[in-house]
Amino acid sequence: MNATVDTADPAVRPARVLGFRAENVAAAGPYLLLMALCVVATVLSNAFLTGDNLTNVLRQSSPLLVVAAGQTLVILVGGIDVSVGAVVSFTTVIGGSFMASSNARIVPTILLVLALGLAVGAFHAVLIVGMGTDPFVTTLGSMLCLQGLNLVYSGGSPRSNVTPEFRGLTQNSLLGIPLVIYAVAVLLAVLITALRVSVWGRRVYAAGGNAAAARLSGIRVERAQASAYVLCSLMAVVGGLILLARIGTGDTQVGESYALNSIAAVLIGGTVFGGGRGGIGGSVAGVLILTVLFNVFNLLGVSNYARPVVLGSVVILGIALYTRTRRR
Amino acid sequence: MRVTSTAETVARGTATQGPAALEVKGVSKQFGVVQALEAVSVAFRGGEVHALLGENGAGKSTLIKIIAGAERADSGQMWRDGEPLQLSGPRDARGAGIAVVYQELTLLPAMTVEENLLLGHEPRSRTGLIDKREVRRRALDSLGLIADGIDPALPVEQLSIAQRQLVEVAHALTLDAKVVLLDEPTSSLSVQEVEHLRGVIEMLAASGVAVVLVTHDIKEALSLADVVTVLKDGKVTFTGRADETDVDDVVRRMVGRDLGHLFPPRTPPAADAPVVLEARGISVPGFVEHADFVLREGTVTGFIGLVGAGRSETARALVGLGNGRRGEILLDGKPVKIRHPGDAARLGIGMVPEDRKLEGLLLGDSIARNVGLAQLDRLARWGVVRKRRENIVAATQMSSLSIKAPGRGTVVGNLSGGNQQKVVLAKWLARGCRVLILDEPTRGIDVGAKAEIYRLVRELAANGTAVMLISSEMPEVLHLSDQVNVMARGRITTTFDNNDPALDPSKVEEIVARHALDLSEESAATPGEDGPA
Amino acid sequence: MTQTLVRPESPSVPARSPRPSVRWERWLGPAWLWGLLLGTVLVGFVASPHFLTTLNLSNVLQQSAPLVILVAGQTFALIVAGVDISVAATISMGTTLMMMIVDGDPGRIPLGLLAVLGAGIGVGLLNGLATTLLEVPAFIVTFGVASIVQGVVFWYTDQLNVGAPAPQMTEWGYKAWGPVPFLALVALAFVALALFVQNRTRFGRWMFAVGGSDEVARLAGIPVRRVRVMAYVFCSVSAVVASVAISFRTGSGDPIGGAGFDWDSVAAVVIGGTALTGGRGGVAGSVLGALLLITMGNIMNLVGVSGFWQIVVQGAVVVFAVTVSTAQTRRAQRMARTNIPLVATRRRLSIRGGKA
Repeated sequence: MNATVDTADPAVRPARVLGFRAENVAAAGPYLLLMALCVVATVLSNAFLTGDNLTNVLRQSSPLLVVAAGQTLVILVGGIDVSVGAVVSFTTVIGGSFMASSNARIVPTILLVLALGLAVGAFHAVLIVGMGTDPFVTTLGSMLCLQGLNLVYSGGSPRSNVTPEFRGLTQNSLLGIPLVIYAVAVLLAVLITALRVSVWGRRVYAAGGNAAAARLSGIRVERAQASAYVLCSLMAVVGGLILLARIGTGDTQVGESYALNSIAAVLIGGTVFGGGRGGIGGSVAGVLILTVLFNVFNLLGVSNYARPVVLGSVVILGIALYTRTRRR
Repeated sequence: MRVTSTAETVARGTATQGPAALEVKGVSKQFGVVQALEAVSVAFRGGEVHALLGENGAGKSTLIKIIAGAERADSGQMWRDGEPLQLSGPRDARGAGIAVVYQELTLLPAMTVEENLLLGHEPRSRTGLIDKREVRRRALDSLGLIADGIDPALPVEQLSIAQRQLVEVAHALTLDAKVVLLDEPTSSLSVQEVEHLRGVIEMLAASGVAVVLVTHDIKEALSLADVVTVLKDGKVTFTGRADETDVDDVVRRMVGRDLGHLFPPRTPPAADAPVVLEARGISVPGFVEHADFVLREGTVTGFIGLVGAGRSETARALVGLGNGRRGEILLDGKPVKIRHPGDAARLGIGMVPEDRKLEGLLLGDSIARNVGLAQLDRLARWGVVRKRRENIVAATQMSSLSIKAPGRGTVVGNLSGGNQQKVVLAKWLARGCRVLILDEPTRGIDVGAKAEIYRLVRELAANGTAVMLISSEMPEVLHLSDQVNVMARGRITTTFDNNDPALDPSKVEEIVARHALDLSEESAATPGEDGPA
Repeated sequence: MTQTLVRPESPSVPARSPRPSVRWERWLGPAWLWGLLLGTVLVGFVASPHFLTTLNLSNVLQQSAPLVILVAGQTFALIVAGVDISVAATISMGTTLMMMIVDGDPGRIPLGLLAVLGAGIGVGLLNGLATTLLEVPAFIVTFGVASIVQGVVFWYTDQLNVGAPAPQMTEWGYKAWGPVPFLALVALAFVALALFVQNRTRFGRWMFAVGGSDEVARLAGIPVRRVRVMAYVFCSVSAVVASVAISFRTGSGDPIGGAGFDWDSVAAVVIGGTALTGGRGGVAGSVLGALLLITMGNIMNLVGVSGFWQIVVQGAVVVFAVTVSTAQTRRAQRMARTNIPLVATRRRLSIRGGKA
């Protein structure tokens, strides 16, 4: 328990680890872990470092990248969103059926699901930001609602009315890289830049770091928080669309792992619960770590039993590593 | 405080012979390059109230932490009742009968008073379950001597701050503490509560406990304490009996400066200075009943009163905070709607809050980012914050306010209280305000930084800012203000022109005090004008 | 303390609390939740003539037994400001282990119980130690452990249903006296035990302290780490006890038999008034929350609402409950603030001040 009577200015020198400033180590950490993982993967399997495989990894991680970016925003303002998985699922279901195998319907479908995502995000914002309800429980409730509605709408068997042109997004490539990667890269670049340099980004960090101080300084904290929840749901929709393009059909269960995986990716990436610190850059590394792991599982033919075990251990240890470096 | 004189002399005199209840000798502590304590030796005797004075950074809190077991000294020794004392943690200190009552209260709000009091050493019955009757008995026992109006079955979150503090002291007693350290115990208390605490302290001392009082309030320290120790830059500059010294003397030993030099001269504003902000009928349910006042250009308007008088809430209403608030605000004569501090900021009204760590700063962020926080849109072009501009603004503020830090990238949480407060000020100065509200601007700040802030306040006024100064320290308000409003119980009970030559300075304090207590009899003695100036 | 001293007058203080006593809530849960539950029963009574029948009530109680047992433990995890989402996997492990070991032979029941208990304690220790030693958020640790445990279960079951219960197990699993089934009594006993631990033991108090503030608890001499680990152990143990209850009523061990229990238990605990931030709440509320969810599901079944819609309703209830409880807390906070009296007594005093 510390008294607020201050000591003399203690060493205002920043903490150092191996001669590097602690904050920088923490920021680079996830990428170092990713590199280490890739090295191990290359050693274990020579199929890993091939162009085909790497492209595959990127392609497979694109939905989660987008979802995790949105989750980062929410965790930055001190909240959490466990409904993202359900949003991904219903995007595939509704998108899959609404498109009705017609290219003309692609754009309307996209607009429709985005509108639905907006509604979900707005719902979260009203309750969590407007009323002050607990984010975990609120998004848990909406997750259950969305899951149920999903099942109701699809009657348990979703349709796949996706046009081949739409699927082309993930299947066609430009310069050897699937189109979807470009799209995701652009999207992430925009978000990362916005967070880092824009006024909105500052407000988001301030709202998470100390909402009361931010408010008193004139920042509309509620707006920043609401924007985070809305964007998170929208990003989940985008992730769902990418996933739909890849699997070509609606699926009521496909999004299930996205909630926990996105949260794990964000935490591994260095953004902490409670907000105010971290960023999407780290989350990208977190997602790639998870996807590389899955990829290695496939390449090595790891048994179905060992996979969850390794995954769980990596997640725990990965995060433990960064909590340690941050402490110092 | 009614104590039989025989009991007092018997208990308070006894411990002057024999080993001290707690003694530190040659204690030194270094944090990085900073020498927080250097060869400090003090003896705390049972039955005595020993005040520990000094600026921030003088080493008081480090010494407390070492005694409490929260820090380890680099060198030196401690003795408890003549026996050498080794502490490896706060629990050892508790075991040695040393209890600290911190500024940040350590009670769990969700649990009841008695549960808090007995936390960690709940008595058990033969079955191994908690013996509820015994818990109640012990709780009443320790509460009884200090605050017997408090129901031990109440959850702590239903108590006021003053009550919680008393429970904390009672807690110290349940630990059978023989050395009780109070860290800034009066900073959030109203006057009656301070009086009550004073009685408790005297009672503790009378029962043989060594009471150590860490405080910024020199006058209070001298009136309460038997012995005074002054620390300056980590060294003891004075230890002696309180009745053998005075405030000026102590200040000199703390800073080497006289008290008088603390306050800058006051140049009165123009007699017809225009009204910048007029507040009409401000009310906040539960806090402010009715407040009308004006803030004039280039004028420092002081708001003084007891804790709970509603000053902060009034100010917060001006920036759009406070549930159910009502009233009219006029800027330059025109009514404005302020629904949020953002509206206020845009109108040129800024507020430096009472608790800078809670509401003033992003402790994990740099000075530059904190300074820029109130004007993000101004620092930005096309929605993008221009870092260079932000840095320049920060550098400018750092130099004009003499903020001592390695650089503008320094994390604000690492700065001392005085520098942190300057950063909060810088934030609003950088933006530029027509009206600046300062709520207890020098709380928890060392004397040196206080003087700088006082100078700043007058400078702001000289440059035309309308300053609203809220403070509980009379000398502060009376030295700095041009206009004074006294508040009590959510109303402004009197207002007067502090620059009025007809004012009798020797009577002013008394009259302010009366109005702060809202004693309605002495209406004839109001100096200067009545009602809003 | 010398007794010759006269006490100084204490500042005027509201001596009695206007709110219902704390003790009531700790043993019986928040009043509004009782209201909600009774309201739901009323709705059920109105909605379907089959609701208040002996058979149906006994069904409801039997169905709720595992969840009720589980939430008792999940409450502890939340009280210490943690959470345990590995319970689903733990339940899967419990049922499969039990079924595999017993495999129709009543003589092996004790062995099964022992093994399952051991496994539960093991998982709990893993959760607790990883959270406290690695300082990783509970959410992630238990997510990771859930993964690990599920993987282990897949491994020894080959992802197939396994084993079989002894006939005695099934017999007791379906036995009821009127509307009161045997399993409900088991659940009740377990809850009573949890309530006792929570309210009457030092460990119980210490859990609240640890959840309320690490620092304060440590300062008070409470072994914070040990308390945390024990809370997680209790949670996992409650999961395996729940799994045993389940195994009394199913035909084989399902490797994903615990699915849904993680979110359901957290939802029930939160509905019951225990916050994720820890330090307050209690088992009683959680049990009410669990009963609420199961009762609602039951009513919906009787009325013929599809299973899909039931999930929607469940979600809506969670949202509703959290909204109500948030509104309540806010109101209480606002009232507490305005209740603090402004300056009260009139005594001649000097304001703290210095020489001019």
